[in-house]
Amino acid sequence: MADALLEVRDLTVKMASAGSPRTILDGVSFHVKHNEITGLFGESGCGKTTLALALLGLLPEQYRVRGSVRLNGQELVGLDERRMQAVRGRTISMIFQDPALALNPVMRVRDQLAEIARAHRVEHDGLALLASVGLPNASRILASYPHQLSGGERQRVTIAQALVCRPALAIADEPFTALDAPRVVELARLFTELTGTSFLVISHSPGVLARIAGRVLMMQAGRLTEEGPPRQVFASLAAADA
Amino acid sequence: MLEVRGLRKRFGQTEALRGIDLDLERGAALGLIGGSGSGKSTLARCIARFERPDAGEIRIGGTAAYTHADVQLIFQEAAASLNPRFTAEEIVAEPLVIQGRSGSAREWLETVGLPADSASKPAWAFSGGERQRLAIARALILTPRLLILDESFSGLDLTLQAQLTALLRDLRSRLGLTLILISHDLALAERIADRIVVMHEGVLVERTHPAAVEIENASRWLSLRSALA
Amino acid sequence: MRFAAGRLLHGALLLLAVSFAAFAFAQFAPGDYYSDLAANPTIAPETVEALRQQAGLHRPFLTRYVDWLASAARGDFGVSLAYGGPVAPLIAERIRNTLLLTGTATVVAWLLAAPIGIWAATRRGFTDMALRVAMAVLLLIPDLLLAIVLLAVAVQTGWFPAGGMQSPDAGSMSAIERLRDTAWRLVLPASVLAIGMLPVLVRHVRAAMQETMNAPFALAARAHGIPARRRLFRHILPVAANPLIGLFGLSLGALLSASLLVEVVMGWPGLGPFLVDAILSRDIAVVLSAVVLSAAFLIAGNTAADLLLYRIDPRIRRGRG
Repeated sequence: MADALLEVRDLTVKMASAGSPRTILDGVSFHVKHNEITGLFGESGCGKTTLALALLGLLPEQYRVRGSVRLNGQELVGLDERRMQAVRGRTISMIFQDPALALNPVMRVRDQLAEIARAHRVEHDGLALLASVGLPNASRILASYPHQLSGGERQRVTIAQALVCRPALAIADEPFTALDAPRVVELARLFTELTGTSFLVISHSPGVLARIAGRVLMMQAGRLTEEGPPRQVFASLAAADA
Repeated sequence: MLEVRGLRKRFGQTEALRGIDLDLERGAALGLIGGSGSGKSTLARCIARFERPDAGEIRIGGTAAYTHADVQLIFQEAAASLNPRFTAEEIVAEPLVIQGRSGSAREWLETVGLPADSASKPAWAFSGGERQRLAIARALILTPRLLILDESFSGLDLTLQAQLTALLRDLRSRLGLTLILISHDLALAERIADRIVVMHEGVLVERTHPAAVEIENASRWLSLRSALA
Repeated sequence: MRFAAGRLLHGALLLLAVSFAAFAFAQFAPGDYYSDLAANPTIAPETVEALRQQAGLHRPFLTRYVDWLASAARGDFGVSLAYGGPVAPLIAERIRNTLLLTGTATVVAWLLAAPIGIWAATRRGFTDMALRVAMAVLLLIPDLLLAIVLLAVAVQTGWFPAGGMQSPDAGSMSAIERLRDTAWRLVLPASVLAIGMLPVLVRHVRAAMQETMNAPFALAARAHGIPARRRLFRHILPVAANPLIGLFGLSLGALLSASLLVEVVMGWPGLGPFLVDAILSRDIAVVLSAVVLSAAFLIAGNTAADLLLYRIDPRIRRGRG
């Protein structure tokens, strides 16, 4: 795929354990294009988060990663930590599942954004960034500590963090889980408005993915079982959704 | 069976419940919908006697002097609150021990669809969905008159939700359970409940209230069928 | 600064309670300063009684306590029956010496424990195990044994003086020379105290760092491409410091107890030996003052730790939930 932003081929992740190693991801292959929203759907335990962490090279030592992950042509599997550091947050970034835990509790928001910009030596405008994720007039938020923010504000901040360097690809791990329906709609709309970055949205909610994703990847027990437009992937589910 | 009149509850500066009136007949299933902060959990906790309301009355079966044995509350992530070292049987039988009553934990394990021979397995050996069943069995062993599920199915994946929904429907028809299902997921509630009420900022609102309409519109927008239509 | 005022008030009340308890315990101890004299058959009971009256030891408990409290507030800590003079100047000098010793030991111990603990937290496998064993061994050695061993070494090799805070000819030294002299004599006792504290501190620093390093926000920082060293010092350490500041406050109590022993064994003229003598001879005013002042030191240290924590950890200040 010539114009693919992310090209994953035969990605296999095994975890060393007492006895034979456990296979968590089994020969996963897919691609993600520029400027599109791709959904990653699957039930808990199917390996979605492991996949996200594997793409970023964040799996602990006990995990053996094999296969190929090419981001803009650069091979990420086997890349040493220092080079990986330059890629993480800059070209590919991650929005973690629990915003309350993903933010440093003793650092102000503006510093948590500035640290990322500093690490990659990019310019950033905190106010503009927060405005772009749905938090206008955010000087109060910039000066705040995470515990002083509402849950929604915290989530927007973690999204802003993932976008500081305007990466080509951002992975969102179950961003909709803790939200009620109207907030889900708001957040879904935000993802569609954030053009310029491709999103890989992990969710176990087919309704949301059907709305915002151009393509959906369905995972089951560490394997990619289906891939295609939501209508096609979710057809059987929709019938059952009586 | 359940009568709530003029319920009020305040936490510090915030008024969580601002005058709630509610009626529920025996054997009925009520869906209580609302956004976060609407007060639905507070209402559940008041009915289940975990909070004392500042004003108002709650009667079950005509009396205000009901006990924990009459109303059981199942929380979200109930599965995570089980002591992993206890066996299934111990967990389900615990309320009997506390209340000094007799009953059969094994029977209830079967009722919720868990094999009888899993009674001596420790909780950590069960999957998330199975643990949710354990929580339900434990709640039902005292044969409460009213069962309240507070966001118990939110965040679970679809297969699990479907299974537990089927279980609830089955239990309702077999045991004549009266049910209140609290959720922010309208679609889910509609699958189980006969009747839906909407809560917003501490009061029950009409289905035509903007807040209720917002929830309903959002749920419709997010429903798979409408998305794929 | 309502928090600070609250903490200070709390400390003051605590101090009051300690002083009352100390006074009460002294009262309940059998006998008094003159008991030994009373046991001496050559001294007439009337003489002992007269001495007692003169010292005011016959007055009721509460009267004596309130009197003492009032004087202490004025800076008058009573009269030492053994030394026949006011307690205040005696204690002041001793406290100064103890603070010098314990202060130095604390600084040295933390200056060592912090980098060792941080470094240990980043290690796994053999290095980690080796360090844990080394710390465990250090922990096993009693302070007393260490003190005696070091003293023996000092005497054998003559590298370090074997006791005392100043050389006999200190009077004829210049200020700089006296400083160097004292510093040199500080090395041994401070080392004993520091080595005694080190294993516990290292273990806690390591644990706090490791726990924080495994927190989700640390992984998130790595995911954002923050380099490892920067993560360690700018992101992780400030969060890990929280439990360590609390530890600092708690360790002061243990330090005081240890210093008492070390001072007596190694001849450091601090509060330790002074207090021991006073207790044995039931020199009430001295005992009381020493106990209350030690408590004051302890409370001050803990309050300082509380205030530091308040400044450093924004979650402790009032904020929107």
